[in-house]
Amino acid sequence: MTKPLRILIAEDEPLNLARLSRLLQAAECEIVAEVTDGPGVFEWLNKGEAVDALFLDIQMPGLSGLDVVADLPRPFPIVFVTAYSEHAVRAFEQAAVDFLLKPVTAERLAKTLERLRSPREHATPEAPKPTGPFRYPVKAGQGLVFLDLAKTTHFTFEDGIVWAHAGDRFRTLWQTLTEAETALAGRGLLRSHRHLLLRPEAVVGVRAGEFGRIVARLAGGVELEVSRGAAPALKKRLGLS
Amino acid sequence: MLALLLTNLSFAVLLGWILANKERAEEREAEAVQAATIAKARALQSQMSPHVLFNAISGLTELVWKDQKATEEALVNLAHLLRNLLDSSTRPVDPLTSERAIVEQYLAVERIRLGARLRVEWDWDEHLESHLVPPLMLQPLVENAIKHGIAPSRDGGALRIFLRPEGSGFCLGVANTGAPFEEGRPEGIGLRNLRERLSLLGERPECLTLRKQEAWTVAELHLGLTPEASQ
Repeated sequence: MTKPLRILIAEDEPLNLARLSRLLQAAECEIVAEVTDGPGVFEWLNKGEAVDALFLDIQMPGLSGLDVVADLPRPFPIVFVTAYSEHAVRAFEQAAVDFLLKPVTAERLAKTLERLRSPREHATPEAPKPTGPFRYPVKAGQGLVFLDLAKTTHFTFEDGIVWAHAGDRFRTLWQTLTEAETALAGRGLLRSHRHLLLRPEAVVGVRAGEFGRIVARLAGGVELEVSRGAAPALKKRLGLS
Repeated sequence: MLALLLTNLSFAVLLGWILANKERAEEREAEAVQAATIAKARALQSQMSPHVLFNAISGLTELVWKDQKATEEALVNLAHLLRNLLDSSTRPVDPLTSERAIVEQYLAVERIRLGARLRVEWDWDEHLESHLVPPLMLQPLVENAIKHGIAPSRDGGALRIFLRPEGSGFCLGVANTGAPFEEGRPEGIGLRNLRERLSLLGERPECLTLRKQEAWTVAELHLGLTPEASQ
């Protein structure tokens, strides 16, 4: 039997929230949280409980669904739910799994759930983790060299390339930051922004940024903005909360 | 001599025809400009945001599972509102009673969407409500207050709709305690349309004001005394 999908719903309109919750439960999903605004999503995620997908209304108080996704500390399967299709293009630019128009129907929702379930059901077993200091390949001329992760401060995604920053900037073999995050899972890196994967041990200082974000300072004076969503996790890792 | 007279007469007739023709052309041009102005003013007249309408309809698809009578009432109200919005575009003026009726219907739709986050109070001088105004002056102010004030606020807010005498005319306005008004923020499309419509209707631009007063954001229309609807 398939494990029920654990869903967080963010919707500010009571009847629309009730409808989506009812339809998801009827489709044997588990509603792990119902929040009524954008900041509520981060408040819940910061508890660290498990969730398989986020169903986000686009127009909500505090932060829109699109803003929430831009500030998420790590990627989640996202389904946007909205009354009007004007945001569809931006939603898919944010790599949403699906985009539902209100009123949501059971039939249409079933297709969304199928999309959400398929990657889980066809997931390949985890590869064995290497032992010893972890190194990863980067491009060097015609060949590859292996960099020590402990000497890397952060990874960024720019111009379609995942760059490793280890004193200098090196081109990695990963196509996306999510791919890098998956390859480096369990090695203490923190998705600090949509385009930034940070090694908290490389942070030498922090200061408050705008709108609840924080700015992390690395050795050499490089400053990196950490999203509002990722800020609590970084503070925790730095022993600040 | 006769030939000279005939020549002058012909010239006078020709000149008269040219002048009359020019006058007719100018009249036609003025009529065309006026028609275009009216058409533009009507096009700018409030059209309820599709976002509000779709959300409300979606809400009703759930309400029908919980309370059939409330759903029926809401659908009847929605039909009245849509009909009134369409009808108002065909009339040059409406009494303020009609403005209030449309806003009450509109607020009933918004309540489906926002629930208890929307708290409405009226401060309405009934002695003034027979005065005639161009249609849909009040509804865009209410929609603007909900869109930028109540809806973006986590706890919603109070919405106060008022009509009160002011000098020789009256003041029609909407205040809300939702998300605070930011001075200098560019106006949204609803207020811009309303301002342009007022200008096309010959009103002064300063007759529409938007300001902050303690916890309230206040939008006001200051209008001179207008004719009253015949009883």
